[in-house]
Amino acid sequence: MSPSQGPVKKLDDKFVDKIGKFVADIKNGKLKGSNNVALSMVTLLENIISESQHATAYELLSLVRSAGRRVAAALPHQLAASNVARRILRAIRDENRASANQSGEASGESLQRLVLATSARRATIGTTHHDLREPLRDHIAELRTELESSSSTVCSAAREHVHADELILTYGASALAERFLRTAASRRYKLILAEGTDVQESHAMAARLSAAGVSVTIISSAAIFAVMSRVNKVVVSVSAALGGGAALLAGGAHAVTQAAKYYSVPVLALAPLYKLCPIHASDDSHFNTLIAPTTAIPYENHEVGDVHVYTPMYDFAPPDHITLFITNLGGSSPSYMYRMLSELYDPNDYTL
Amino acid sequence: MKKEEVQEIFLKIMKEEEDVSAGVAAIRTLLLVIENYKVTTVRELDLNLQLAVEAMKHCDQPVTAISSGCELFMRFITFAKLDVKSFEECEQIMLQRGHIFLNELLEARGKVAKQAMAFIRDGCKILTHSLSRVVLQAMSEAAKTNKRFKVYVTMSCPDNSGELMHKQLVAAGIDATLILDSSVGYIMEQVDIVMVGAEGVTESGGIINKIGTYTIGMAALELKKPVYVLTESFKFSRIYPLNQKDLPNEFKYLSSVLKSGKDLSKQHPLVDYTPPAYITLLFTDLGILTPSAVSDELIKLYL
Repeated sequence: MSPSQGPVKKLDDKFVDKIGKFVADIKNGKLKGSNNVALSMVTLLENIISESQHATAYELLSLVRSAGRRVAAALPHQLAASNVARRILRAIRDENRASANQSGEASGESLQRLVLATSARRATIGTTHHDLREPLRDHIAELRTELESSSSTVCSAAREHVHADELILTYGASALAERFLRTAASRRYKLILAEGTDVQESHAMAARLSAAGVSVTIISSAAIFAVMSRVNKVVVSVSAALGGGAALLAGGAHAVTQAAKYYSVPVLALAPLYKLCPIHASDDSHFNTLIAPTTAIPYENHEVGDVHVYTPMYDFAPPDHITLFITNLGGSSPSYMYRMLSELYDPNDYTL
Repeated sequence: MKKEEVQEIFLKIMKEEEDVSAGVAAIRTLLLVIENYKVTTVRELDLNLQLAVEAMKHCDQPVTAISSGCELFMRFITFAKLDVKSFEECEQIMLQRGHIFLNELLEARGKVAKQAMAFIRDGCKILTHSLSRVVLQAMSEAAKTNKRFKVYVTMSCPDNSGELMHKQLVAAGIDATLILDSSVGYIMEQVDIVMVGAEGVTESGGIINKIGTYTIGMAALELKKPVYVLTESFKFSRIYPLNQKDLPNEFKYLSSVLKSGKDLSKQHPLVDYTPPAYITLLFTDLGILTPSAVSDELIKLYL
C-alpha cells in the first residue's frame, strides 16, 4: 500500500511545533523569498527525518507527506515548500528502491510498461526495513546545494540570451530577474522596466541596475503595450511553473505576456526548478490569493475607506504566452515541462 | 483459421458488450485467436494474427481504434516471444501476459476519468461531441461527487451517436442538452471547456475522432476555450498525418464503401484529424499529457 492511500499520519507534538514555527516565520515576514522558503523547508524536513523514531521507507514517506500537507494547508501559496516535500519524497522512494535492489524507473505509467505487462513487478513500499536516514542525508545535501546554486545557475545563462544593443523589457521587481539582468550587464543592452504593483520596489531595482551599468528606462505599466513593438525580448521571473507549461507570474504580468504575444516578442521565463509544480491549470482562480492593497492605495488615504481594492498576487500565463523557460537545467520549451516533472517527482506524490 | 470466424468473434464482442471499445474488443479477439487456434511455430502464430487483424479491419466497423490496438498488441507479442526457449512455454507466457495487458487496458478508462475529474468544476458548462464512453464515465463520476454542471452534446451526424450520449448522460442525472452539429459556433461562447474522446491519437499529439471534432477544435481556439481530450493510451498510433488527406482511406470510410468502388469524393468521411495545435491537454491513463508528450511515449515504446 502506498502511504498516499493510507490515513493521514498523526505527527508528533514536537514536529507540529517545528512546523508551526516555520509557518509563523513565513507569515510574519521573517522568511522572505521562495528560495529561502525552499531552503528552510529542506532544513525542517531534514530535522524531522533525523529525529523520527522509525526510519523505514514507509514511515519516512508518511512523515514527510503529512508534514508537507500541513505546510501546504497553512501556506497554500508557498508552492515551493510543497515542491521541496515532493522532492524529498522522491528521494526516499529512490533510496528504498535502491536498497531493495528493485531496478527500473519510478513507478510512473508508460506505454512501455503497459506492453511489457510488468505490473506485478512494481516497486512496493514497506518491503524493506533498512534505515534510510544515512543515504537520505546525501540526497538532502544534494538538494540543498541545488537550491543554493539554482539562481546563479539560471543567471549564468543570461549572456546567452541577452545580446548587445537589444531592448529588453521586464516587469516589476524580482530578485531573480534583477540578478539575471545584472549578469548580462556586460552585453550593453537597454532595459525597459515596467512598474509592477509595488512601484517603490520597481524604482529601487531600476536604481540598482543602473548603478551596475545597465541603461534603464522606467515606464508605467499602462505603457507596456505602447513600447512592446520595439522590444526584442521580455524577461520575467515566474512565481510557479505548472506542469502543462503554463506559469504563475506576478500580478499584472499577463498584460505583458499578452502584448508580447501580439507583437510576437519572445518571452523568457526564469524558473528555477524548485518552482515547478505538478499541478495543472484547471482554473486560474484556484491559485490566486488576494494580498494587502497597500501597494495599490496607501493606507494613509482615508478618503478611500469605502472603496474595495483587490490586489491579486499572481497572474496566470498560458503556455502559448511563454517562449522559453530558463531552468537550472537549461532552457526548456513549455511543451516539454511535463518531462521535467517526471524527472523530479514521483507521480504518486503529485497530490501530497 | 478462417476470416469469417475471426470476424464473428469480434462482432460478437462488439454487439454483446456495448461498453467495450473497438480497440479492446480487437485485442480480446487476438487473445482468443492465440488460445483457440493451436499452432506450433512463432511464424505461424504471427501469420495467424496478421490474418486476424486484416479480417477485423474489414468488419464494417471504424478501423482507427482497431488498428492502433492491434499494433500495440503485435508489439507486445514481439516482446514476449524473445525471452523463452520452447514455443509452448512462449505461448503460455503470451497468454498470461496478454491477460495482464488486457486488464490494464480495462482499468485505463477509470484512470482517465479520475484525471479529468479535477477539470470538471462545479457550475461549469461543457461541450462534448458524439459518443465517447470515457467522457461519459468521467462525467458520470463527476456527477456522483455532487458536482453540478451542464453538458452540450452535438447530435453528431451521420449516425446521430450524440443522441445515445445524450440519453446516457440524462440517465446519469446530468443536465445535458442535445444541439445541432451546425450550432457549435453558436454555443461556443457559452461553454467553459470542450471535452472530447478520440478514436486514435497520432504521433504528433493530434487526434483522429468522429467527423466534426476538427470544426469544434477550430471554434474553441478562436474563442480561447480549452480543448481536453480523454483517451486511453492504447489508442496512440504511429501515424503522422499532416492534413485530412493524409488520413488512410480505411480510417475515413467503412470497408463496405471502399469495396463498393464508389467515387470516394462523393462519400461522407466518418472521421477527421484534429492537429495538436487545437488540443490543450490529453488525459490518458499514463497521466495528463501535453500533445508533444505523445510522441515521447511512442518513441520510448518503439525505439
